[in-house]
Amino acid sequence: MNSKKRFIPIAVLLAVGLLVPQVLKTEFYLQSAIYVLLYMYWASSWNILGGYTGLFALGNGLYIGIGAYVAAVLFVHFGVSPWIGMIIAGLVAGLISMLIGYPVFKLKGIYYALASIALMSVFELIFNNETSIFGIYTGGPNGLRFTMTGNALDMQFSGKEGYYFLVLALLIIVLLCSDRIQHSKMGYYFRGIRANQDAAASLGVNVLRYKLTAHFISAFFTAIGGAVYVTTFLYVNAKTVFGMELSFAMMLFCVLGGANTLWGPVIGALIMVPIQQGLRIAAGSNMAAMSSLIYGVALCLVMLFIPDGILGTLKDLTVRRRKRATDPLQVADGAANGGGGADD
Amino acid sequence: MEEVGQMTEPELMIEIKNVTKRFGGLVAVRDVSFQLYRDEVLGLIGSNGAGKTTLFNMIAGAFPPSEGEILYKGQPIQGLRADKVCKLGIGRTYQICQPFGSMSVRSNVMVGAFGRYPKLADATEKADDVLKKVGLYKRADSMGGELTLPELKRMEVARALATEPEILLLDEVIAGLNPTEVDTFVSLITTLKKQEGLTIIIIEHVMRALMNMSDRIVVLNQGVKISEGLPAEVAADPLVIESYFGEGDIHA
Repeated sequence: MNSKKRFIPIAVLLAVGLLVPQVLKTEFYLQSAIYVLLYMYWASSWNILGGYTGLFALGNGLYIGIGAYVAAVLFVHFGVSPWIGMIIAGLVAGLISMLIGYPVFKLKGIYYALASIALMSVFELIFNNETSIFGIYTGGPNGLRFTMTGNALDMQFSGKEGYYFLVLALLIIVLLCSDRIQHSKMGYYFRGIRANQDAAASLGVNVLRYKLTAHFISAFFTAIGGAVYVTTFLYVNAKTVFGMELSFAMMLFCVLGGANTLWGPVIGALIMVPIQQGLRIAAGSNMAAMSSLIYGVALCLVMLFIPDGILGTLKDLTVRRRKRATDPLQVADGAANGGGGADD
Repeated sequence: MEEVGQMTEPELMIEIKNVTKRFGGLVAVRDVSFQLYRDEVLGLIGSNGAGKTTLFNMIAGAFPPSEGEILYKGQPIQGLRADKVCKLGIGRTYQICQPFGSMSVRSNVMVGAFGRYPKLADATEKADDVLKKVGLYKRADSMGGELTLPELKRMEVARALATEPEILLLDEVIAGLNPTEVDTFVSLITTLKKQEGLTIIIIEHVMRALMNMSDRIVVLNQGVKISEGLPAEVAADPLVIESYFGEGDIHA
């Protein structure tokens, strides 16, 4: 009963998501809606690593970049459809995340965050300066253009709706997956590691293995988003996909909405992306500088006033209110006792 | 036929063999050896800095000894990762409670239960079961960070018990409790020991409680084992009196 009720909000999101293109007819609004969904998706992917597992991955944009370049190269040079390319991109990013994750795990807190940014910057430098990598042309500073086919089998659609529904589907998948993780051994282990990894280890949690798993899942989803992102533009460029902006955005939206909650990343992106889009219009070419400023200020405000994010803070308030209202013995925590016996 | 229980050799559970731990120039534990037998409660005492917790950390796999061997049922376990030691059947609590503050008490205990019960429903059931045993079930839905000290200590024990250990390492679970709470806790541990068939090593500063609970006591002083034996023997050992009681350090 309880375990099925959990899916109602996801179903509602899907229903609303399917209706949106009926209302937002213009290209601009639909493109903005795609951004909202894509950032919800990326923030949710970040949440698995940065939220549940508590690894402060500031450079997760690395996997957007890897996903973007793998899908682009596969399509441009090898004729592999991005439908397949995005899965390969996800797997490649997942494997790379485990390879580089291994040495980086020895680092904790801020050092981990710095190492993850540094790695992303290294990739940006390489892809921005080298015109070919392992003998494969990637364009260097000019980026890499996709061949235009207009064929849906190549993930190229005539209007925006195709991309919109694709990203909506990805978002639903990552939310279902996150929900599954939350209500499983893996999710409890992730949160145990986040709270205190030594204590978790003493309770039988293989910390390294679960950190690697969190990395893989997060990088896999993030990279698929990267592959789709550049396919919508038919163009990939190192400065963008390996840039700080995307990395910071997905982290900030997640933290703002409430890291370590299922809906935090969705709410964070829903609030922040329209603001970002509004600024893009208002500030014109100064957008880049403006957005950094907004991110910085927003992050400071969140850290100062609602360190648990919007959802985390709301949850805290309702728990406290419920406690005051009812006998403390009766207080039920909906999040924790998911499938406990109520499985009919 | 009746079993001649008294005659059978007690089963050796843990054997500490010439274990030394150095942190840089500091020798925290020096050439310590002792044995732990099944169904025993072994008390580990010594003043601050005697190396008790360091010894626990080496048994539980937090870090390896610099020298020496730790055998669990005859198998060397020194240097094994903490989660593997836990899976083998050695559970521990921490001197300074280490709750998962942002998780409910039930979820805290479930992290321990998942090792043996990978399914959510089973782990939930196990956690509730253990929480009832330690008398913390009414707080199952509170956050780990909201508990009082006595409750935190119970949760530490509950988490360790949820891993279904054969051996429980209790690091100052009584310290910081008032005398009434101490008595409650001592009887709780005695009951749990019987119910779960536990073998226990307990570090404690509260002498009265430790003397009552322990079958045998090992005394450490500045990393060296200075005495070992029955509680009464140890209490009468002049070396122990000098190094431990002699400093006017008996306060509970």
